[in-house]
Amino acid sequence: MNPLWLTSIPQPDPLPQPAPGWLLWGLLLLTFFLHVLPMNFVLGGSIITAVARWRSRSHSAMHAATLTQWMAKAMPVAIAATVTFGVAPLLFLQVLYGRLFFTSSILMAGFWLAVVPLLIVAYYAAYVVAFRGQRHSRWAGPLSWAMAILFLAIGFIYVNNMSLMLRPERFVELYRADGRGLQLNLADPTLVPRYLHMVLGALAVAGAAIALHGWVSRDRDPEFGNWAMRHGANWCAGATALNLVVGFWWLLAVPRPALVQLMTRVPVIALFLGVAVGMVVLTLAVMTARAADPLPHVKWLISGILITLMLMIITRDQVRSASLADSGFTPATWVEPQWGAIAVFGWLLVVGLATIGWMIGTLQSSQQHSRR
Amino acid sequence: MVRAAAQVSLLASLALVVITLAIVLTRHLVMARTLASLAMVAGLLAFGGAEWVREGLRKPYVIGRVMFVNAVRMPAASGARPTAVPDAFTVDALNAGGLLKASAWTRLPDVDDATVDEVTYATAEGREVFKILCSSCHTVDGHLGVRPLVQGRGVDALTGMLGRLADPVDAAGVPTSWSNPAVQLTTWRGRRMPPFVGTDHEKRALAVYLAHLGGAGPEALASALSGGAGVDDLGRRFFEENCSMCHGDGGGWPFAGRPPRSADEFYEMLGKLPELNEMMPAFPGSDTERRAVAAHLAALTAGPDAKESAR
Repeated sequence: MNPLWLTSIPQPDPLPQPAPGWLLWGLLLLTFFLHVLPMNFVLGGSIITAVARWRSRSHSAMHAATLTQWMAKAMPVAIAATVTFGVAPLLFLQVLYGRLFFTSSILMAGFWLAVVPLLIVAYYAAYVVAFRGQRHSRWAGPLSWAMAILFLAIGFIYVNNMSLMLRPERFVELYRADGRGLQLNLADPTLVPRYLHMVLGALAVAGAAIALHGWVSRDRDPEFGNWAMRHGANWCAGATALNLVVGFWWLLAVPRPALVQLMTRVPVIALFLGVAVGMVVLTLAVMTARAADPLPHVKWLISGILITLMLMIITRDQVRSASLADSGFTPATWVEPQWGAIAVFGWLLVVGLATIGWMIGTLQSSQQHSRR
Repeated sequence: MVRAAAQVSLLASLALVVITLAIVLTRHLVMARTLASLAMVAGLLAFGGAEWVREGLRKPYVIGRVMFVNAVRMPAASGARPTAVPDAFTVDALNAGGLLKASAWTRLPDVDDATVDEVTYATAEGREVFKILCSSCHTVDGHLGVRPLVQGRGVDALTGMLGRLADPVDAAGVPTSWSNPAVQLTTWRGRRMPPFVGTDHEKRALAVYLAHLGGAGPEALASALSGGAGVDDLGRRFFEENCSMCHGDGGGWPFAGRPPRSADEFYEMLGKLPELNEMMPAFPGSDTERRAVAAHLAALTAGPDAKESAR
């Protein structure tokens, strides 16, 4: 007879998986990457905006004020993009790991459901700052901090769920201790480093996004453009430097058997490459921040951070499967692909991404048009 | 209810199209806020109605003829898929092995705890059974709450009702086994409920919990648990289990206060129940039980004084 906790991983539903595992896995990673880009901008950007607003008050710095204004306008769009791009990876996660993910979601249901009201409040705050921020500037500062704190809280809840779903051996014990849906994964040694790693990563990506904005706006306002590139690169450099340390902390906090599993896998190359490219990103960020003319470095910085992000998403997935290797969780084996539905999904994904690219391009060129 | 939801959804969708056209044609100039708010309300109604229809259509299944809303599986379905482990959650497996044993997700008091008496423990077991089997659709006091449905019901009546939630029949309506591949459901009073699964002990525990929700005191629950099924009691108990959900004190058609009839008259009537009213099933018991129920009914209609003298 199985130990009790093995039965706490629910049996698969009597329903075949609608697509081959490799395809669902690839789409999970791809759509998660698309989600992480705006999500990092929202999370990291809300912190950077709050800090910049505070600084621009005390120094009456013009560039910081210009930046916060742009960030305030961009934030509602980025939140919408985060939520929209979040749906697809959440669904792929459910198809592949639903039996773990639903269980952990139920154990922490109170917090998990709280994400929705927290997000609604933060979303409204973003709109208030975007549209009323100039008129009621007294409120813009506290609201920016409130947004940053709300997004940090939402991130903390997500990290709790994503780490709790990797610990099925604790499910029953947690439920017996308290079945009201108020459990968090606080006893997990990977929780804090994992959370810090995600937040610092978000700061680095948001910093790179600000550098990109500086690059784009350099034509019409060279002074601000150069300042924004350096300012963004500064955030990117600081966060990446800390993240190299926190990343190793996370790695060492992973339970020993899972760590051995991880290190003996071929895809662990992604981890080493990611660390190497991360160090390159750090160097580039420092160079961008220090250079008299940051322009030649900034595109390398942005490419570097995107590559690091991809490699780290692969590594995150490898940590997940290594952690689950000895848990008794087995992926579904009953697969009956529905190629028609898959083709429609793929077609819509391509068309949707192309439309978004076209929208951003049109917006960009119309802004440059109107400013000239 | 599903039909009404479908109509609401359809009308709201049409309204949404009309409002959207109005907003576009008036170029946002006329009553823009009002129209936008109406569009939002219409959109919510259209989605809400469609979701309601979707939920309603598939009940009592979540995967048609394969898995019930509470994740209990039809035995026939398990043959249709490749599976490495035997399915522990089919109707047959749970009826044989017990629901509480199959689930890892139970929170029961310690069996050895001296302060937990029989009634408390049975109520706790029933609450867990309710959570596993019923709570995918039912709450206690909220949406589809059970408390009003079980108000004043006894343990025996509820046990009988639970046993009849859904029965397996074949295409001709003849009772069959769950493992018949062509099995269909006949449900209690046409409700779209899955069958009760679990042992008789668990069914009794659920009935105790429901009776407790319905306001039954500890004494009533304790006496129901101890059974007390003497021969004198056979008619009353059979009536409680099989008839009282409709004909009991809380039901729509109680016997108390009806014109008195003799036991022989009732015995005759019990033999042709579907002829008397097509809503009633044929008498399901033995001849002894039929006589006992007839005597019980004769005593009921004769009023409390006659009942005393009949004993």
